[in-house]
Amino acid sequence: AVVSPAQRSDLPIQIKSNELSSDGAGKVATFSGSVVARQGDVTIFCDRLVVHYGAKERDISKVEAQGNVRIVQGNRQGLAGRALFDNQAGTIVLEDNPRISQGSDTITGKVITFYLNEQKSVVTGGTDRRVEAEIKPKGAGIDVGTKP
Amino acid sequence: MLTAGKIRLLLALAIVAAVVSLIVMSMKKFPTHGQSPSAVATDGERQAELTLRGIRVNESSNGSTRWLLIAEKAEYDTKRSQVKLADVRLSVVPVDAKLGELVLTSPTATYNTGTKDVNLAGGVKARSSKGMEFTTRSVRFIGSHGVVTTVDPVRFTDDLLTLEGNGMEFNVATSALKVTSDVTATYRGGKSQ
Repeated sequence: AVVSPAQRSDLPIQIKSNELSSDGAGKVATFSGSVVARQGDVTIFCDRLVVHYGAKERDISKVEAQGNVRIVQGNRQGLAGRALFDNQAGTIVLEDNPRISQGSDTITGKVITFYLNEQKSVVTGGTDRRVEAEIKPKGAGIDVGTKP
Repeated sequence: MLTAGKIRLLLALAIVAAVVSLIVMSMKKFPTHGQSPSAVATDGERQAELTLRGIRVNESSNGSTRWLLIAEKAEYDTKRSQVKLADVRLSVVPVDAKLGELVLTSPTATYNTGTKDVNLAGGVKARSSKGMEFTTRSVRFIGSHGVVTTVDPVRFTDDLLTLEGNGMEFNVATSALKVTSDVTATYRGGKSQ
């Protein structure tokens, strides 16, 4: 079910992992080993997840996913070396070889921003990496050019 | 003149006298079975040499208390340098008081007078001054390092978070926490700044 913006940041975030360690000051908690984090219709898979708390303890300010990051929302999927989830803004920024696919279409670039509440993604290139898109027309497989 | 017969008689008399005196001595030393000099001692009391009602042990450094152990009942076993405790409360205070005191309670515990370790058992509950509650089956407090550790399933809860897993290590001085396997954390509301 698509989650509305107002609801999203109020939804509980559930995180499963092999191990957890948190620093004493209650500022950072690191989940490591087969990490799965879920909030509403969004699921993040990665090797390590670092949760940064805001001013008030246990109040999540941002979440960093590191290593084999895979983000799934409906039929949208993002892959990257690392990603930054901002719960307040409702965005996930993918970096380090990011790739996004929706259905059979795929786009790569330098940085990809996943807008969780708008079914929208923005892909930006860089000097060393241009934006590349591979769009498969619907009804793919029919050879338009030749007569049957 | 002493004939062989008389010598034999004297010898026999001496033996009989020796046996009789042995019997008399042993009766004095060992009361007969079934007669107990005092009320029947329970197993614990027969092993423990000292049973105390209410015990208080504390460890301090640089003039301030590091931890305080209180129990309703204690059985002191000198052979194994151990004190068996009942209705136990262990409060541990970090050097940086801002981090808050941790209070652990349990039905039973064992305090090792040599290592200063406390093993709490029978269902341990803990509460930090910041409102985080913690439950597990048993816990070992390593007094010398100020570390609370267990291999049992653990559960932490406060108003925003529920955290479960297996095995835990908590450093009192720094409040650093590690849950060693099968971690599930649920942040309620997920609000952020």
